[in-house]
Amino acid sequence: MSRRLERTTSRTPEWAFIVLFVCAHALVAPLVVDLYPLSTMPMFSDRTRAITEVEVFAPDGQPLRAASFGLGSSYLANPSPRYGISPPVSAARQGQLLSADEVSEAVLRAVRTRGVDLAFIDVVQRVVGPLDTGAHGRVGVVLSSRVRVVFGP
Amino acid sequence: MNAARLRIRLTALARAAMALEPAAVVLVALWCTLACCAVSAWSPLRSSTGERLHYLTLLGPLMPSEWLTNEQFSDTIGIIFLIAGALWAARRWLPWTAWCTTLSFWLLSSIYQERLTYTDHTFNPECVFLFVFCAWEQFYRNEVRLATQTRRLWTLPTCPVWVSWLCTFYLAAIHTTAGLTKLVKSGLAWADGTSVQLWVWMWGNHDGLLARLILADRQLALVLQATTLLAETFAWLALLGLRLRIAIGALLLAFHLGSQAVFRLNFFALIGGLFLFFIVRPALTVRRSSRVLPVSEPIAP
Repeated sequence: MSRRLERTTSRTPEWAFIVLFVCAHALVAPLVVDLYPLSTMPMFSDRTRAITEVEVFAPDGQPLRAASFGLGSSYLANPSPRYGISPPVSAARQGQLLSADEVSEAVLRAVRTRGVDLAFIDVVQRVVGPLDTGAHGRVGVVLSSRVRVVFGP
Repeated sequence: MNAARLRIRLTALARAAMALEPAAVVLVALWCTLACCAVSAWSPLRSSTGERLHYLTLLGPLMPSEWLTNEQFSDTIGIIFLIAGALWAARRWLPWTAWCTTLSFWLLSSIYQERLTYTDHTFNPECVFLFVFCAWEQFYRNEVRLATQTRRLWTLPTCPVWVSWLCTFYLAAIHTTAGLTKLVKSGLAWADGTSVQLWVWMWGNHDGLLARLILADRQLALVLQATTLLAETFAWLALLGLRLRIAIGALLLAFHLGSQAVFRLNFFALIGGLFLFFIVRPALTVRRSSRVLPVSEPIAP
């Protein structure tokens, strides 16, 4: 049936919606960048050259959450993110290794108030970046370190 | 171009935007969006702890802080959304169920976002599509009701072209701004291959073939990244012609399907929208027009 149904209502609100929609996404979104549901989708816009992975292990070798020891990653692949709830405090620096003193200081600061019933933890840091060996260009571990933080009286 | 010609062009565009077409593609898009929203609403809400630095949503400053922490409240909104969404999908009590679905999903997803450290962008296309479809149900309620009563909603021209056009415009806009953001923040060197290899190393599914290929070969990573940057930055060209839209849609779809395979980002509403509004609808329009005018390119939208 090709008969067209006739419009029975005014078109002004319809046009208002269309104009508002276009303005919101073409003009307002670039100004606010990220204000849900408006967004310019800014994720993955940085050009990272190296990342740091941090793993924390209990004395029995069980993996623990690095964020609980002030060493979690806060990397978002967005150079200027809009934060809602503040990210957990972390001493980890993207693309760099922390020294043994910096690791100990960060861990002791993180557990100061809540305490910890472990004799020690092992913190493994790995910097991952481009490997210049090989014809195809891979990424891999370019630097690593293992630091033991001992808790005691 | 003088004022008279501009006026003629704008009038022609306005007339084209208001022309009615069968609602088949929009109905499929509506059901896909509702399904994606239902999955999002059903998923357990994550929550970050800490001090609030900024609001992440337009509704954030308007919501009492109790709404953000009260689980019972968000569960109730979730149930309202699911019931209203099911009724909308079944075409019952429109346009009220469309409004109820859209507003409850906007509120629920805003509550969810305000509990996070950083925006979860998978909700954005879902919420925006719901608003467009809801506007159609509102402004064309009489036409839609009549067509539904006669069981000809799929074939009768009850859906204005602007419904598909706004979805296409939104998809083109977010991809263009995503591409421009990359260029502004990192320049052309963004597409160096290394950064995408590092993201795959960090967040990718290392068992997948594509992830392994990207990790093993920087040249391949560079080509994929450069193609993505090109397709995103020039996504606005999709608004200028149907065949161009199909070509850009195919590139963007390949990028998102690849991202899904590697990162499992779950942008399903975005992927569905690209498929329907950048591939299926323009292909159908080209096919319809070519039967009448075998040589000419149909005018967008």
